[in-house]
Amino acid sequence: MERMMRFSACANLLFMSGLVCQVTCPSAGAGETYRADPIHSSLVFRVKHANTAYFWGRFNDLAGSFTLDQADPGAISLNFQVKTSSVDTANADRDRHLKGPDFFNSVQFPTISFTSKSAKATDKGFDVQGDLTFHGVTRPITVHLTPTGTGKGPTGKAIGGIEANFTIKQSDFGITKMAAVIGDSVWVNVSVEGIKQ
Amino acid sequence: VFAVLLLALIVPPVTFAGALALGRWAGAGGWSRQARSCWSTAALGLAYLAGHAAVACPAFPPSDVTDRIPWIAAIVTSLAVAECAFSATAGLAIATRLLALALVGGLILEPLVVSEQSWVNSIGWISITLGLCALAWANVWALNGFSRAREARHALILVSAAACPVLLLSGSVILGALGVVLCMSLITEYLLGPGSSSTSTLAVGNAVLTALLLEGHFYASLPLTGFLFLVMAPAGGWIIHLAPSRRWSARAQAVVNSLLVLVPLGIALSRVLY
Repeated sequence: MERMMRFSACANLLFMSGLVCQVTCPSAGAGETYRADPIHSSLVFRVKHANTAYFWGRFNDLAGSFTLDQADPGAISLNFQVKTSSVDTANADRDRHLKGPDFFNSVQFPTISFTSKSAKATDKGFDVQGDLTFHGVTRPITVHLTPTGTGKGPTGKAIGGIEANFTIKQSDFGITKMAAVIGDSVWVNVSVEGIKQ
Repeated sequence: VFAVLLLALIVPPVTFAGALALGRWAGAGGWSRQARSCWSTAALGLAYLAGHAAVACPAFPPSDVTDRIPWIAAIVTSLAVAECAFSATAGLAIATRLLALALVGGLILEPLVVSEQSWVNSIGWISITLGLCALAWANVWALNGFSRAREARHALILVSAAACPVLLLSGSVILGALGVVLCMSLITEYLLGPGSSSTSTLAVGNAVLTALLLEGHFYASLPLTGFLFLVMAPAGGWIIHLAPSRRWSARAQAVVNSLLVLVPLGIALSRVLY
């Protein structure tokens, strides 16, 4: 009987602690999944031209989803797709060149995608490991992820934001033919606002 | 970009001349006209391959559609050398050219079919394009067979020369430079080769040119009209075989022939510019 009462007290304590945590730590526990809102999301990149100065560009067509869990990095997942034909560097001729066979080859490789595999917490957020598929080549990369906030959108739906940074080498993905003109290293920043599912 | 274009200008002639010198040294002047023609075709293929490697070193296995062009050049050169060496019958020669066209179409257009985009919508246009390429090839062979002159090779050199700026302006520096590589290979073969109007040389030039133009149209921004005028430009060579122009001098015929090919090339270029 005494053992039964002790078990019951422990169960109540566990239940109460869970309830308290649910009230005070809304993002802890099961991960919250958000679907990317392309209108309020951005993907920008920076690359050196002729080993001299950086120029910036962006991709305008981004889709995907992310799952956040501040307490359990194992539950974090990112899954994004970007249309290579949506590249925009504020210069139509350069965009046409980037979409063509010298760089992205948008016809043959219409999509860039990232799928996360694991994540671990760091001082400033999370390091997310995953596979990036770009120009027909899939390679593992690490993305530095920072949750940037949660709130309510104009329609009253719950929204959440993340920012992710990573650097890739174009040569790792088979883009080598214009290596002398454009720098090999590309820094990418993805800022996504997602609508909670 | 200038370094790339410089390589495209220099590497093919040097390679062709080197291969030709090697052949002369190996044969010690005892080669037959047929053997010299076969070696010249092989040297043309080598010149293009060396130029391609210098301009856009291909990945192995091929990572994109541009990396497939050297394979086309190598296989079509092998087929052309075999056709030349074994004096293939007309039926076998046609079969070889159909195989080469299927190879070009298959390797260049395969990514369109397997890409995520709906290929069903473009399958009709892909079929029409390949049909037009087959017609253009048949036209070059017929022109070559009819006159036994150098008009077909003139036309091929002019089209490949025009393809360079057209492809460059279509949004691909690499395709433009590869056009220069092809043009320089053909010019060198024309100047240093055995001099016969070799059909095997035309086979290599036609295959690589078709591959470059197909890639330019489907993967870069070469407009449809530009593509059509470039592919069909050699047809202008027939005009000088019509009755009124037969009375002209050889030089006048050559000038008119070049003009008739240059007009569609000019239209193709203007379609890219405007």
